[in-house]
Amino acid sequence: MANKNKEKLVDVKNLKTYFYTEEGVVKAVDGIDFEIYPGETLGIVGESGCGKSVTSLSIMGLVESPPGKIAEGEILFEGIDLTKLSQAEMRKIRGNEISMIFQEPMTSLNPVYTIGDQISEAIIIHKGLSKKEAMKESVEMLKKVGIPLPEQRINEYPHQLSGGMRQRVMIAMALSCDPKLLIADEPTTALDVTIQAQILELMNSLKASYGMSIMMITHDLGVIAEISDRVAVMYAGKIVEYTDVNTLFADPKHPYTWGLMNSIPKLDRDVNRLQAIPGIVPNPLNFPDGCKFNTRCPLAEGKCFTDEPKIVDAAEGHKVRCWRYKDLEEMKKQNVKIYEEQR
Amino acid sequence: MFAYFIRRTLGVIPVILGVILVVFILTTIVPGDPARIMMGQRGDPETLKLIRKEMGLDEPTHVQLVKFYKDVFTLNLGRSYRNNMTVIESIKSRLPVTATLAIGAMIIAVVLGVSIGIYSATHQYTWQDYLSMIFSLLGIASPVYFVGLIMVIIFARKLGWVPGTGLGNGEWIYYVLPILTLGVRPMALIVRLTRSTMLEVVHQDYVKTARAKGLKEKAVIYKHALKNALIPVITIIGLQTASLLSGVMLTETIYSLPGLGRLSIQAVTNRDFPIIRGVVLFMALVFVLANLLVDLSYGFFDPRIRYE
Repeated sequence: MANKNKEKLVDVKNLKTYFYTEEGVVKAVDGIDFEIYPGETLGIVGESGCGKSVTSLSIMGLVESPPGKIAEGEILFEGIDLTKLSQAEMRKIRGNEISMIFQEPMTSLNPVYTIGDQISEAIIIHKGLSKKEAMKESVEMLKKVGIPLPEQRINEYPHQLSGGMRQRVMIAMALSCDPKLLIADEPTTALDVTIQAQILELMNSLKASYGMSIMMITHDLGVIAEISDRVAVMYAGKIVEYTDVNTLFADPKHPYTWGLMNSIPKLDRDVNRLQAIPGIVPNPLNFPDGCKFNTRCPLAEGKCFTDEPKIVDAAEGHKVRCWRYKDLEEMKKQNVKIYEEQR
Repeated sequence: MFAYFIRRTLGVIPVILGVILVVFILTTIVPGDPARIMMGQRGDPETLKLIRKEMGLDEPTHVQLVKFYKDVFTLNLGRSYRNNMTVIESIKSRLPVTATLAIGAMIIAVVLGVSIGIYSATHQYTWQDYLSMIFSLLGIASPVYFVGLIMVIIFARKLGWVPGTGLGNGEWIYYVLPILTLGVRPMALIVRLTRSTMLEVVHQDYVKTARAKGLKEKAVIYKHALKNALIPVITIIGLQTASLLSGVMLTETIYSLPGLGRLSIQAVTNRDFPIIRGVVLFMALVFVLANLLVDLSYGFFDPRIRYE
């Protein structure tokens, strides 16, 4: 890939974010490595509780502490380790060079302040503009995210806007200081499908015009396909597969990813029942020995129950964390259904 | 916004009319013949009859009611049976003491209550938090007369820091204990409420958004969280004026202060109906107005209310 030669914007190395609770240590993120290059979109996909949101909060330095703590690892942003910065230094980066949008547009805006107030706030602190100038900027931002009548909207309150509009406001707020990285934590999950498509399209076009990178966190493979350049699949606090988006969809090498792909209904195939991954995500307080996916994996055997696999290069630019990915390859060739159809 | 104010203000009118009616009914159904109370034991039947006629007490109830409404609206509430002062004059002369007490107590309750509540919430599970929770629990659980007596014993008798009774020549030091006594309960309530709403609010998504913008923690708490957390606190402040007004009666009795509370207690023991009516009406009016003020300030704190 061409962008491999570019300087990395974000380089996460062996990040471990743990929560020290009364019941025990929850290893929400347990040793993950990934990098984001300038101008690309990295998708992070996984089920609820796999650690994808905690990953994003770790980068933002917003993990609630206590009980949470970055126990180990580095988050290099343009070569600076964010985990070593003070709160004051971190505040200069937050909302300025790295900004974030959240899942729930209905609750992510403060109900008691106007849209303009909330957008201009970040502009005032990071760009040092006066309130008046910042308001003007805010109007410009609202125009860019496609909100009609921005001069009027700026004086309105969040409850006067629809969910899609509010997410646009969130995007305007996040982009107001030209961030280099936008972290989007399930930005479309709470929206209905047509609005989802609009928001993704908006993000794609803004990414191009701003030249920023996006870290897209989602559980929705459709969103990943729509927007990502490369994808990290997370399971139980670890990355289990990491490659570019086309390879991932064409040739998933981890049984978990394979299961996710198979559980998507397909319009071009006549299927009565979907193949689903059995079981649920294991309790983070009580992860199984060996591979964390062994409680649900149809291929799990012997070694999978005793030793945790390392993430290895299965092919050029295609990492996978599985003892049996080669066997899966064989089975795929022979068209064996490894997951049962759901009754 | 303006329409909301007007609508709320107009909504007070039926409430006031209702209050007047209730006050009339209460003072009519309680036993005791006003004419006899005025004359004491010496009144002969002829004089009593005359007085009843003069006061309109021989009229049918509905006629008396209409007359009462008229009297209230013309501020002609009659004279005390005891010392012949007009009701308005009596209230006027007693009001400053009570107002000082109530306003002082409310200021202490709100200022200290909200600040301690915020501190507790932002320092959850520290010893300061536990301490403030224990004291506020005690504060809520202790009735005014208990707090008052304990304060007198400790601060006036044992330590001798402040006077424990009377008003002296009206120096501020005489107000210290009464104001504290009256303020403890609403303060304790406000501490707990502020703490719990604050804790709820700081976990809201918009607080996360504010942090993600790179705002200072102070701005996050005092700008983004506090304004949201105060909405339920304001409601409680309005409701607390009621317990403040009843607390005033106890406090003024404990500290022998010449305020409205003492006036009304004396009026009740003396069956001084015009004064009872006057004071009860006045207090009800204060309560209604306080809650109107609360309603109006919602419009300021919560934009969602103005347009609905």
